[in-house]
Amino acid sequence: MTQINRDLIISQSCQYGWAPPNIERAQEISSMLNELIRALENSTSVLNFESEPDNMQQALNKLAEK
Amino acid sequence: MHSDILNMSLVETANAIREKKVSSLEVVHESINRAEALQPILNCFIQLTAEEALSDAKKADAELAKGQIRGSLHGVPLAHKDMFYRTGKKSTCGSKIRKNYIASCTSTALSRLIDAGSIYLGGLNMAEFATGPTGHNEHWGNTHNPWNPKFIAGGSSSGTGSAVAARIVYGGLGSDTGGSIRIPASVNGLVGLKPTNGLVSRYGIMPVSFTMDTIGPLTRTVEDNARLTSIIAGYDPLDNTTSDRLVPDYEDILKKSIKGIRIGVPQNYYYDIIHPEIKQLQNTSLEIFKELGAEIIEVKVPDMHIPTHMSNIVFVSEASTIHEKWLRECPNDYQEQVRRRYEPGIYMPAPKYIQALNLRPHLLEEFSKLIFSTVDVLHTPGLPMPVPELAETDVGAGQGMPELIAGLSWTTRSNNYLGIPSLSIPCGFSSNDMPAAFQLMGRPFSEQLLFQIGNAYQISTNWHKQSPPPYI
Repeated sequence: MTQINRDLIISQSCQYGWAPPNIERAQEISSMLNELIRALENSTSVLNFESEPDNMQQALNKLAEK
Repeated sequence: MHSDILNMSLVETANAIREKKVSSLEVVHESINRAEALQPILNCFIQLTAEEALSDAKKADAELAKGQIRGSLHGVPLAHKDMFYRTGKKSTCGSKIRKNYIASCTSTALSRLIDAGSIYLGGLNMAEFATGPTGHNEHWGNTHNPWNPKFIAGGSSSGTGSAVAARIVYGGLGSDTGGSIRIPASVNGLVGLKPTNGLVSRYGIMPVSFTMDTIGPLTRTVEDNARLTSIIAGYDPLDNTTSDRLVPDYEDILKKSIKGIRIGVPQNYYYDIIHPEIKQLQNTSLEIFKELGAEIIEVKVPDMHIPTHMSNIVFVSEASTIHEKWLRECPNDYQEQVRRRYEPGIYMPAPKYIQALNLRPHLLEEFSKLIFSTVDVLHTPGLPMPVPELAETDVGAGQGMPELIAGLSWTTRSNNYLGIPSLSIPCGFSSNDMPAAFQLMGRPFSEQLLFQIGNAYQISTNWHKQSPPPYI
């Protein structure tokens, strides 16, 4: 599982020239990202990612009532 | 006659102008008077273009006198969220950063409404950069709900919700990326359509999440909504995500019976945080559908937390892409809650964003096959709780505020990720005397069916005919 911690948030912001968030905010951001990424990783374990994202318009058209 | 005309529906008013029972100038004049009188109470306009509207109304009347009719909205005043560009005109997007932004193109949806004869009355208040479900705006002032100004007008299309419900205009455009049409529709007692992604061109609007943004109308009746949608829908070479499917006239089968139509009622997720009063109103609306001959079927939906989480991954990634330069150069020009919504996107790993996009058609297929093989539409609550007061959703409101804000989009957010259409329809009032709503969701491009079912409900009820206090 991917884990993003608050130190990574702070070091990335410094590296890319952003004003770094304070420790509490960095913790908040990392917790939020980890929750979202956990949901993603749990849902994509059976998918491979060897092509560009599928065309959403094609999917919508395919599932529309004919 | 004059104050009554603003209580008429959009379709009734368009007919009255066409039949020369009232002039466009008279109607526009009434709209402007009402907008000016209510602005100190509701704050729903960012810019009221009164002179331009009066001049356009005179032209519309002159054309009509010569037998020239531009289209089905000839002479009808509308106003729209202040993010629909007009070439050479200001479009603030509810922000300080774009306070003086002059657009270099015109929104396709807006130009289609103008080509159909509508009169542009102004740009309406909104959450900053279309981000926020309550109608708070530090830069332009909060929008207030006409049913009671102490309560939220919803967001992010707050001004459209407030102005249409207050009988200032007959309808207007909003945008919806996670509920920004349907939430203001719900809390203001209006009909709001989040169309299928790709049905309506987004060309010429300020995006916030370009793969999930949609544009749609807020109106008082389903019939009005169907009319506006018929005009704005359809392929646009300037937006390559638009579908080239043939767009029906959505007014065509509005009055067709809904006998035998299968309406699904979810047994999980959508009612997890429901307030008892709202649940009661949902049940009452389902009873009406039963009386109309629809079949009510209980269904189990997939785990809707997943598409909701995925929509958040996509949202923060795309919003931070759009706003990166300003977030770096002028972070303090954003209101704090908006900046905090975009900020996490800067740290979202790129593979996770791409994987979330890749998962999208799979979740859509899973949802569609599970639900729409059993039922024709899904009926869910609009807002799961009674409309909150502005003070309850303020930054300093206290402990329960984040959950309350998250709850506002509980039933709406996933649909923008899935791309399916959803129609919000008023269904009564809770004990705080504020409107409540249900939402109909259908398979992709099933707007015609949603309108048919929604119209059948409105013919049998009168919630949409009730008006907020007149104030003036």
